[in-house]
Amino acid sequence: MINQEMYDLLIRSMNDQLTEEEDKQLQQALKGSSELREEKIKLNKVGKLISSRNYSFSDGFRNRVMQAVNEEKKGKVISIDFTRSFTSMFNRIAVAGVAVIALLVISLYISHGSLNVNTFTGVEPVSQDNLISVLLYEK
Amino acid sequence: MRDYASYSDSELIEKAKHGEDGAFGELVSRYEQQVAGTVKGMLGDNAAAEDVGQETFIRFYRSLEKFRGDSALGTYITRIAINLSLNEIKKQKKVISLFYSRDDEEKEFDVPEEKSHEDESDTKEIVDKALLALKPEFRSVVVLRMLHGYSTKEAASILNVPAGTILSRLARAQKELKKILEPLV
Repeated sequence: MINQEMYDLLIRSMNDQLTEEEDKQLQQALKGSSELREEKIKLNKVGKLISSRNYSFSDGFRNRVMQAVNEEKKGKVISIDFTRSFTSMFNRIAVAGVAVIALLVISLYISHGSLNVNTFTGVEPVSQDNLISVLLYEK
Repeated sequence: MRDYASYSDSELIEKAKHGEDGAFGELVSRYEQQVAGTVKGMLGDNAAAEDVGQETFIRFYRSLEKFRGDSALGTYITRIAINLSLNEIKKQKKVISLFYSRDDEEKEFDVPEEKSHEDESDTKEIVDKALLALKPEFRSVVVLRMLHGYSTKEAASILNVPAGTILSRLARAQKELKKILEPLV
């Protein structure tokens, strides 16, 4: 039966995290237990099995990545072009709109001689008498 | 065609930032195997892992401008690969939980006891299955520490967890792996 405490020490020793005292304890336990020594060999083998596993992508991986990157680039260029043309079109529309508004304001000023609220709304000033007569009007 | 093999990583990054596709292609070649180890160790040797590997490099390409070289390029790319793999596992889990019961999902991994260990592809397959039998948080530590040989500190930085967590996960994973791979050792 393996001493659980020593087994935990053994696992920790695989990750280089034993203090000097713990290392001494483990070395002593290893000397006295063939089972623990066997476990150590097995754990080392497990480590080797994992570290020796080599993975690779299927053939043409680099080309597929570069193709995807190029598509990404194209997409980026299209979106940048769209944003640029949209911004420049918006600027033109905005400038034309401001010019039209300025012309309208000038023509209103010329025709009415002032730029008060009534000029803009097109409503003639209403006198108090006129308002009362409208309110009192009965069919 | 220009030969990029003699350039350092940082030189290649600068060239890639300026639109030199060949420079980025060289970086892909240099880190292809490391990314394959990460994503295939995490997801298994399958098409999903290939897709995640490809996505890793596309994400890296997108973040070229942001890369300041604070960590080694390999570490930076591995971090992207690990995060994408963990996301993929979450996605797959969601799909699995839609179609299978929890009992099916937690079925124990079964190693054929009388398998001939001489066949290399069998060994590979068993190692892959053993890795996949680990919970993703343990698997990621095994991939970084045992497969890539990153230090505890580096693994902690990649996974954004304390070093103590890496050590305890690694210890548990080693016990699990020993149990699973017992017939091979």
